Amino acid sequence: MRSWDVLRLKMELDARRRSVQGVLLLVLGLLAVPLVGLAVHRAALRYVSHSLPVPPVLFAAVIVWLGVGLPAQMRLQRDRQWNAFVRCMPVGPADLLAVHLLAGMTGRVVVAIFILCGLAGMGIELWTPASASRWLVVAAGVLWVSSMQVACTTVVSRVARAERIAVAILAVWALVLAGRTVIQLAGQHGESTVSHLLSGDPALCAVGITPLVRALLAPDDKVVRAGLLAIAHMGLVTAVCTAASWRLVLRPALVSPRRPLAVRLTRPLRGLLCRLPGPFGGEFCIEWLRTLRGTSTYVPLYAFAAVVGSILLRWHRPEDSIGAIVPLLAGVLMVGDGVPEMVKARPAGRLYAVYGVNPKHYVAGFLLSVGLCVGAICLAQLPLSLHLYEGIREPVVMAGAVIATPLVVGPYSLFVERFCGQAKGIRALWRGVKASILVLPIPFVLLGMASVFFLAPLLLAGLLVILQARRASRSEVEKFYWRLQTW
Amino acid sequence: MVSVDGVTKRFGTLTALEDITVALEAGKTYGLFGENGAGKTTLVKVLSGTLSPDAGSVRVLGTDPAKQWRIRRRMGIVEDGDAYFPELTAREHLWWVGRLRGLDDARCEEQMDTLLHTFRVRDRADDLICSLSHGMRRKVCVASAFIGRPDIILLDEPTTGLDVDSLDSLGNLLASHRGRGGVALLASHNRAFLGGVCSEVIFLSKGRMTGLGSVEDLCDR
Repeated sequence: MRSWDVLRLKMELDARRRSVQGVLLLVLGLLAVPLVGLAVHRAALRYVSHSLPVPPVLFAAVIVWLGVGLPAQMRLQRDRQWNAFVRCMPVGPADLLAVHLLAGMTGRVVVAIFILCGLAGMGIELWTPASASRWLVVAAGVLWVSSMQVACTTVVSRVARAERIAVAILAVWALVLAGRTVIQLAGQHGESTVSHLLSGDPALCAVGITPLVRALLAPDDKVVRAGLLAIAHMGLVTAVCTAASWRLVLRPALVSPRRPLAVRLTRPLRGLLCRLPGPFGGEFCIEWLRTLRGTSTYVPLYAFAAVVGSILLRWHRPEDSIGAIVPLLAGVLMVGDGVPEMVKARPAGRLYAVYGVNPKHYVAGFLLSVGLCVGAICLAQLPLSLHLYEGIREPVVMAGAVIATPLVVGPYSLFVERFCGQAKGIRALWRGVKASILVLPIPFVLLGMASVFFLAPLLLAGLLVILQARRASRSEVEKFYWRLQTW
Repeated sequence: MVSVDGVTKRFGTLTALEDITVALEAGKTYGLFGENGAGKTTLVKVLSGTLSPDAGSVRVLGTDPAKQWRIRRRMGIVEDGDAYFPELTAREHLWWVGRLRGLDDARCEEQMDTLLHTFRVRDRADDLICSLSHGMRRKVCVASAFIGRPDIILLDEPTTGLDVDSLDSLGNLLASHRGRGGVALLASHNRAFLGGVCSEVIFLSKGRMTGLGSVEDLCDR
């Protein structure tokens, strides 16, 4: 009864914390799931038609699965208000683990659906009585992934230096695997060697990834046995992870001292921002600062993953439009991880309070910062791409639209709010329209990134790193914002 | 009812509590008095089970509160940081606290109404907590400690932000709690308030217990 009450409370709080923009993105994301599932199915169909090895793709998919939902878990572990409340309440480990299990579940289930779509596309049988065990393995996989994520985030947030140790172990493992792969690839049998290396990796086997992949790929006459073995293995890992979480979850989370981060702004960029109309330059600075300081670091992480994924796919299959799937997938995973919730206007947004920015401008500022960054990357590719692509106009127009939309919509929406204050119906309608318009560029941003020349983002990123030598401190941003306001 | 035996708590090189030994008896209200950094909050957290001592033992109703979370059903705790959700109304907050302490809806509603009336929050009970003033938020937090009529009440700085009437109400609630045989521990700098409501006062200084005395001793210090 009490576990259910704790879950109800958390769900109630999540529902109230969700912004209009978040709900819109969630709906858009869920609408996109069948489309992306279909795209994954077709991509898998094409992949196997080229006689390429299936296991490495499944290994990669399972590793992605393990990562989806982690940001939501980390946010829950660091939720100061939630932690302060539950430590005074008669809430046990079972109640807390139930709440953690729920966090990020959307993303995990969505990836499970995509894995099933991919399996179907690869021609793996899913509809015979024996292959019911594959469905069971995937269902058990959802619990297995959840328990591993909860255990990892609980240990990292509650045990001193656990994060550093975990990162070091992962880095060593990745280096060893990469080294072994390079050495083996120097031989004759490239793709099959990679499959062999992954299947024989003791770490992947110990955590349950290898048995899971084996069960999914087992021939029909052996699938039941392989499935049962995989479920038993994953059950064992789940039990160990749950036991670790159970022991630690009641401990108070470690509090890391937050140091102010510098804002990286070059002199020309500052000059450019000063010439933006209204408070947009200041908002951009604040969003940039927030991106560096806060949990929204996952936004550039997803964008980066989308870009790298697109690049790899374009490199491997230049003739296909398969690369468009990657940003779409990243978009859906962003929704699953609750990234839209970071876009909301928090009444207690401290940075906005410090810099005196109207929280109503929050979404506009956020989109402007992301839009400007990505749009600049898209536009910067124009000179490079003109020689290579005839159909370059489309992505350029798309990038332009991405940049222009918040710039145009932002001031207009302020105008409407200011002068139609009494017309409640118009205001409500306008708010809905505005929210829709402001959210729409996000998929275009992601699609735009996939549609342009693959090396340009890397070149531009390198250029930016060189240029960002000059740093503006937090106090300078404050002054800068006020200078903009009084421009 | 509550016993602390040789408790020491360190944070790195800082010793927040050193060899604290005290027993809290049923039917009494204890004050915890000391300067800033004396270790009052740490002691409250150790008693509530939020922190485990590095040495010594804590027994609350015969169990270790850091290991037996179920004991918190019989404890009303308000720590120094406000443990509320700005997204809930005052009424909803108290209702959820009551539910988590195992009250049914009828008893929850009854006790909630009484507490909202006692702390004069009833008029704003359906407003979101984020829209309330600091004092009102504090009243909601303090009121939540009394939901479910727990046996043990631990309040860290309960007087901060409370007006005179609310302090009187809190004093009355503590008196009736004492009458039911409960024990309460109040950590505060407010000498006058502690003098008015406490049976005995624990004196802390730089992590050490410097005495357990009467209210008169408090006035002398």
